Amino acid sequence: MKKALVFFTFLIMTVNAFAQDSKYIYNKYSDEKGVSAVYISPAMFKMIGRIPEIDTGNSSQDISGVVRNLKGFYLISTENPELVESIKADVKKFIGNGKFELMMEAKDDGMATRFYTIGNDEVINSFVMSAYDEGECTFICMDGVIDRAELERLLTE
Amino acid sequence: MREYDDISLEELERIASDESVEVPESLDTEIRTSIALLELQEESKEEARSATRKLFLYGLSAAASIALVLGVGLGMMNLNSTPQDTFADPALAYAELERAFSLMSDKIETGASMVHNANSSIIEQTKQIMTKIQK
Repeated sequence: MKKALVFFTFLIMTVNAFAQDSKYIYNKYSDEKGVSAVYISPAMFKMIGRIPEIDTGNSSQDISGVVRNLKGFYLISTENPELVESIKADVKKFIGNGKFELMMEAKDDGMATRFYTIGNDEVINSFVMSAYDEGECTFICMDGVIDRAELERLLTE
Repeated sequence: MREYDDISLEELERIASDESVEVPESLDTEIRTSIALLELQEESKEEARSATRKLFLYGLSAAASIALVLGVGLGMMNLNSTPQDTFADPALAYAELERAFSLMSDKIETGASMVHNANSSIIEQTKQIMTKIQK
């Protein structure tokens, strides 16, 4: 009985060790009802980078400088209250791996937005935004070699 | 030999109390030995059945554990597989990125305005306190 308990404890630990990363979160929720999901692969970013001139149209933001250095992009968004709680828990586990640094947090009347990064003073290798607002949840994760100053300029414009 | 089912209890008692029939001296020992042998046979059959049952249960547990591990493993592999691109057109993908950056920018602006409001409030309160002190 003791051996069985030890075995199952190790099994559960192994399951948890199949680390929760952005790919895991995307795969888990992207096919659920009421979820908007976007994934852009490294190959697609290369194709975007080959577009000679990216027409920003009426957009006041020119993100081409940052986008050309991205390697992956995940977006999950939902208003399903059951999924919101589940996503919140998974994102917490993902962020809790100790590698992410909290860049900014804003909380007000049930709304909470957090930005996390992995990188150094000059370069960001991974950028995460998690936003919860009155039953709605959005999770964005970008990987790449992103110039920190360029990204901060873009986001604060 | 008559069937014992046909003999009544009184007749059995009469036959048992009939001392004219000679009882062999070793009968008691032989009967006890036969009973002991029968009990031993029953015990060994029971042990064999128990061993078979244990082996069956171990086998069943092992199979269930393997099935559980395989199931969990396959599930995990599925969740860690590389997904498919949402857009086939790079221009559409770029438009979605613009939308995402706009959203992130709005969120940061909300946070920044909260900081600004908090600072204004603190400055205003500090001014009021200074005014009161000077009075």
